[in-house]
Amino acid sequence: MNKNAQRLSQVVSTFGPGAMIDLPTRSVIVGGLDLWEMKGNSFSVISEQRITVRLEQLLKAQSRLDESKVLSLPPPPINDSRPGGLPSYVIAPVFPAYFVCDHVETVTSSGRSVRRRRLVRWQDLDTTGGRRKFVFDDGKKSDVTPIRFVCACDKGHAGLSARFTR
Amino acid sequence: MVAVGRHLDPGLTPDAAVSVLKNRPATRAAMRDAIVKRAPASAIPGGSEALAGLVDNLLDAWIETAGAQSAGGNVFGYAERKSPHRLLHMPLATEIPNLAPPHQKFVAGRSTRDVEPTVAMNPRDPGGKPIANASDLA
Repeated sequence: MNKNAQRLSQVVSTFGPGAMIDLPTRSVIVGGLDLWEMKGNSFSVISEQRITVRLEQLLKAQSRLDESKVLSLPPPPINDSRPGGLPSYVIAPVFPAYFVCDHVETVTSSGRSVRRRRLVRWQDLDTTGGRRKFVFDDGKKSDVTPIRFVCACDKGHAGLSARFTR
Repeated sequence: MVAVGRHLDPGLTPDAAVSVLKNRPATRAAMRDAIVKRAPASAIPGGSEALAGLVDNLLDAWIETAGAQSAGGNVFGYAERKSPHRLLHMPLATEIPNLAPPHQKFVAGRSTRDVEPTVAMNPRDPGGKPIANASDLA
């Protein structure tokens, strides 16, 4: 199993589009339907009349689906690892894009010794290593950890919390 | 396979409907086709026809077992009743050696975790572009 893979039932439930998840080496936000790469034979439609009829009834009763619309059930792009097959996947942009260095610096401030961990942005990270580390001015490298304080507006746009964006 | 049948045909869904399969040739064919369609032909020894044959044998065993168990007047179900009045048994059930050979074929665990397809995640930079020099994503 691909290390950056989700089970099908995860993608259509808790860990679907908009979910922030920890992959083994990256924290990402799962892309929406416009970021589902359906290549080769990965595009299919589940033929399940009972569910589609029930969903149409529910959504139309709530005025969330136009009366003339008919639903279909395309599953996410299934990872087909057959040799020669075109890759199918869900694009998952890195998120959050702010990080804290694991390396602790000791600096002197107002005559006092202060320990701190530096806050860095995605664009500050080391490009030669796939942006997984931060390089200090003296050449030392530090692993970084994504900042977990995030917020979302009423329309679902995600971002860092105000505390970290001021 | 049992789950496929109960899902495709509402008439097979209730626990006591396990004996109905013999009267549902269309459902039986749909069950076989659904399973054969899901398996890549190149991964099956003997190809799709061999798999269809295996599924047919299982369906025959299902009908034979349901007929034999309900012939004595007992209610036969999928899994809610005690053995032998149930079709399905867990892999380590101690009753399995006492069942008839066709009945012994219906042993299955509850988890589908290991047979579920996966969806690959492709991490990109925050702007959606591929991340260069990312050895962890190679």
